[in-house]
Amino acid sequence: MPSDLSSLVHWILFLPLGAAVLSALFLRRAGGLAAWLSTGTAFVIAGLSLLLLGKGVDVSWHVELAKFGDVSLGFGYLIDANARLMLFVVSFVAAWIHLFSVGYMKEDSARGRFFAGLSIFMFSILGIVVADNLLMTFIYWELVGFSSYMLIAHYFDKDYAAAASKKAFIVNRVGDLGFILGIAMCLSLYGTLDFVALKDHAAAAKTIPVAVGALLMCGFLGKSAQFPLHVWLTDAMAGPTPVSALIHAATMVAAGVYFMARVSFLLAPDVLNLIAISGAGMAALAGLCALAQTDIKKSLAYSTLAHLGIMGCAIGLGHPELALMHMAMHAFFKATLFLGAGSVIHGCHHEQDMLKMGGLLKKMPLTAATFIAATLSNCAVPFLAGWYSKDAIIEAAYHGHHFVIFAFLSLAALATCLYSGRMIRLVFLGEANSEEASHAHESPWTMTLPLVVLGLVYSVAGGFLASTLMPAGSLQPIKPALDAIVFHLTAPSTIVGLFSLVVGFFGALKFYGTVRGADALQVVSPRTYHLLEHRWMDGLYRWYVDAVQRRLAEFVAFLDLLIINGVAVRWIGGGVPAVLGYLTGRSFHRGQTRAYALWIVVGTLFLAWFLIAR
Amino acid sequence: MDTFPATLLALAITAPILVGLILLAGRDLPRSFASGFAFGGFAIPAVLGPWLLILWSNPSTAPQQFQSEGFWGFGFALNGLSAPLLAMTSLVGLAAGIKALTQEVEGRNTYLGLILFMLGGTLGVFGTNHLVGVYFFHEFALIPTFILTLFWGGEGRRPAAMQMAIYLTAGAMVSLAGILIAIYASGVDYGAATFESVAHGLQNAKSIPAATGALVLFGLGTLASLFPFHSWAAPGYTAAPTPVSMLHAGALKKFGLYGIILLGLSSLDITGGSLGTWFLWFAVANVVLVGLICLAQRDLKQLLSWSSVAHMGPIFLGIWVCGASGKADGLDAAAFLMVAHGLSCAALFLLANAVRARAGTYRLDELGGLATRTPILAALFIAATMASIGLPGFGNFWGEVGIFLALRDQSLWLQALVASTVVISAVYALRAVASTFFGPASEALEKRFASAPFGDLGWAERFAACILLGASLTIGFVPSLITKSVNPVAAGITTFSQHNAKAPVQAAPAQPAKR
Amino acid sequence: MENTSLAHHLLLAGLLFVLGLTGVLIRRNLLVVYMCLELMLAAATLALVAFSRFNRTMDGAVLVFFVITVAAAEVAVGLALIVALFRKRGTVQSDALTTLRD
Repeated sequence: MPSDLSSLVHWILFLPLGAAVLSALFLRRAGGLAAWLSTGTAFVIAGLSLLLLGKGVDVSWHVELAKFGDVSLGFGYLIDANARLMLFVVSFVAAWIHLFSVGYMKEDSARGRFFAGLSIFMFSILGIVVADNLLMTFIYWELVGFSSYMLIAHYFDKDYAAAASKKAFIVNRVGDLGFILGIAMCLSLYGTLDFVALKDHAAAAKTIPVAVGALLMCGFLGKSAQFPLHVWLTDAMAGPTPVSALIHAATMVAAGVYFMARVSFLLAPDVLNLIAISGAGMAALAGLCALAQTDIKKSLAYSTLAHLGIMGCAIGLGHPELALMHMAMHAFFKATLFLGAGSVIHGCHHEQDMLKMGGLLKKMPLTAATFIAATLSNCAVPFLAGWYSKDAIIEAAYHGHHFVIFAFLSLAALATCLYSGRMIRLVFLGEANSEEASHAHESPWTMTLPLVVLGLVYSVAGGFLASTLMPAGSLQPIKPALDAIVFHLTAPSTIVGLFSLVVGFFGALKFYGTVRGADALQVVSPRTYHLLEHRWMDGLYRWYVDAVQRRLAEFVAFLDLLIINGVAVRWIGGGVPAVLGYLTGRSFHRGQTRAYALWIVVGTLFLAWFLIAR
Repeated sequence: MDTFPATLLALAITAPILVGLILLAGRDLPRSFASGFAFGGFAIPAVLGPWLLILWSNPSTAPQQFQSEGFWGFGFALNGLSAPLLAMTSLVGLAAGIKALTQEVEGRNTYLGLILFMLGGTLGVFGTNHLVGVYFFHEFALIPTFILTLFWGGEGRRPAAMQMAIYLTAGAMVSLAGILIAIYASGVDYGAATFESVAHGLQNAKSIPAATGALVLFGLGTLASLFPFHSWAAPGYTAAPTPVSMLHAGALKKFGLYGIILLGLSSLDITGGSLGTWFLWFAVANVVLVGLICLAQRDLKQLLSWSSVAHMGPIFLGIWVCGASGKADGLDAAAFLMVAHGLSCAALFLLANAVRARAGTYRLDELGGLATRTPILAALFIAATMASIGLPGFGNFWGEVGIFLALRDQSLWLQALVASTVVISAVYALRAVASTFFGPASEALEKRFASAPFGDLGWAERFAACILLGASLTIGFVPSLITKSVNPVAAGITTFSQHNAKAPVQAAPAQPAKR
Repeated sequence: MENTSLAHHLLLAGLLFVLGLTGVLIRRNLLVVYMCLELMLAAATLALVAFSRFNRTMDGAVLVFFVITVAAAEVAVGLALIVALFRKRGTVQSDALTTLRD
């Protein structure tokens, strides 16, 4: 019954909002309670999403909030197969991240605020998944930006967190600027913002204007951190590690991919090509940049950028289903990686520099095992989760005869294996390189349980689960692509993948073992390393802000002061009486009562003449 | 006809004025008595205003509701546009009143009395149906504004108050000329000159003096800080005492827009011809140039003052697009933003003053790291900031987005120019938040805290801020509260202006903007 | 009475008014200026009475009563002001009273 299911969606959407409001208003000082409230809610939502996934029924429900002129501001749900899958992935990963946070944030004094932030984030991201029109999507889109701002600014007394949160919000808003223009254009062209109606219009129209897709894509560029708006993502690591896992792995960045898949019918071929090329290029670039980061979280952030590039590329190639599948797989293993990194950081007493770690395999066996499993999935080892989706995308590029893209993606695959090997080598193998690392300890169960669940179960067996256990509907469109890979081990993608794995992963393990306490690449080729550190893009933006934007602002402010306030107003205010005073031989303003009286008379006579003469 | 709501309306307007009179007369009234009394004067409208908005019934049959005799012949009544504005004013008034009650000033009773006058006058502006009555109430509220700024203002109050007085009086004079010519041209008897009757008369008039539209637009535009007549606003709000900034920037300033909509847009074709082109470019300059000026500010209160000017830009554009291309949604959204901006802007002024009370300065480079000491203040300030830059959930979002959507048929780069406010406002607002509250505590602040420890936001101010933000959230979640009364007004005006309008103005060639 | 018209009355009122105005403009002693002002007021009152008489309504005449009443009050205040001014400044010459300039 549809009404039952829409009430189910009500619960999924509004439970986290309620939890957030409750925590923010009443549980500010009762951090423990807030933590469990938020976590409990997250698990309930995960259960409800699973229920929805199991039912496999589409839901659509709509109510009008208000009208502006002819424009209806509607609120509603549109749950299709993609949405069910996304709901499940998001809520499931998020639930475990919540549980992890309970342990990770135990000593934090502002837990109430943190968990309220997580819950409001959940609300917004689930909203994007269920929204049935562009305007509602935009609303949740903005809310996601806001909640990530609050979460990144969790350690607000640190300058870097303050700067990173600001940057994330503003860069996202740049994307949203294009997004809102795209929405306006849709409304202008089709007269509706409703996804279903838009799809009908798009199907009826012969061609879709390039601008629509290009503008809507801007939102995707910002939220999913695609080139050139990717700069916020690496800085966003300033937030607590579970936030990094939630935002950068599972949900926020995935929102852009999901949205592009949802409006794929509005994307003109030119737009798709653009997304594909820039996605593939970014995948390769970000993968290589991950090699030159010493901060474990930053390295993972670049890895995320690379995977987002791959997803973007899949959308551009016309396979949004593959992108979603990769998004789901990536969510599982990247969440594991981030949580594993969190566990490592926690164990090493908040040391984040990989060069100062080492030999953690023995000290933190559970963490190490899950981390390595997730890494292998990240490297697309055959039959692990990442392999299915990533190879399918590379295969799609090859079959579509997009050889440039294929080349870039292959490079990305190689880079992935390289940085994965480097990470394992530096963090877990060898010997401890610092005091902190030698005293590392395994984390409590609230942190390791999510790791085990997410890491072992899903990143290893995820693909198998996905292809067999999930209801047929949700994966139907990509079934052929999956089969193609599974049963054709000689496919080009498989060859590329295996080659990268052997050369890249094991090469990196060996290469980074040669130097201790420093980065081998930096020792061998400092210039390459410096190039890959990827400072130039930030430099470019900083130049823009400092040299262009600020100067322009000050210039305009100066002009306003000079011309409008100074010349125009002062001149009219002071000049006119001065001229008149010169003409009459005396100043107006001399305190002479009689002169004032005279002017009153003159004015009255003038008015009288004016009225009579007309 | 039910006279009960009409009585409520009359009571809402007269109560603050009467209490103000008593306080002005009784300068020596004991403190506690005066406080209680003044609070009553602020609270009565705040209860009645929202109540009246809820009582507002389906107005398609009656453009005016809750009519009563009023005084001096200016009958009281609400129309679809003024009902939400009156409710907003009453809430801003309560918040401003609470703020004023917590302040320690010389001549407290007079101070409170004058603020009550301001509130009563502003309520009268929106609660009167007589055109000259509206104007009268505006002046009635404006005079206390000058006096309050001159005697109780902050740094630089003398030149600021003078500048404000000259600008606003000049603007009011110009608009009075426009109003009188409009009444004359409409052929309506002076005593019966309401917005509706004059608009109706003008729509049927054979000829309207050519300059009338310009007089109304630029006269009232000055009152609402339309570029380039905005120079009074930033120094004025910066120097004025906080409750005055709240009331003026939040509520009284909206009179200019209110008049432009109900008189100019409805019947004087201010969006057509070369006047319309100028209007468009001035409004765009309000968004872009004033937005850039905001980026250059180094002082929290100046930043807020400038941003309140910048936020008028989208409202003007909503009005413009309604007239120029017959989009009722532009006007709906503009009206929505008028209400929402009043709430968020008043909240920001209130909280910025609380920052100053603690840190002793408004200078952004001397502030920093306040959030560790005052988490509640920080949370409320961030909420108010987010409201003002149009975060969904707060009312401002509907207004801004509605206006962007209403501009959908204009040329893309005009839309982009206007929508750039999304980014510009985020940049300056977040910079203000970050340099006030985030980061390590500044040295100046630490020293000050060591010498005179300060606490978090007091209960009274918390309450005041929560009223404003709560109201903004309420209309954000239930936008129909506003649109149910505004929709018919917008539809009516649009029908006329469409009937009158030429083809939609396709953005003129690379004209001004940079000047 | 029969051979006087409205014009005659108005002419007289106008003359009185101009006389008063000239005085206001050229005399320096505030006391005299004040008397001239009263003259102007009286001229206006005369015009009112004349209109009342020739329009055969009582409106003007009634208004005149009010004007006289108010004028009486005004004289009291005005004279008091001039006296106060003299006590403070020692002069009632308008040329010497230019404090408004600043």
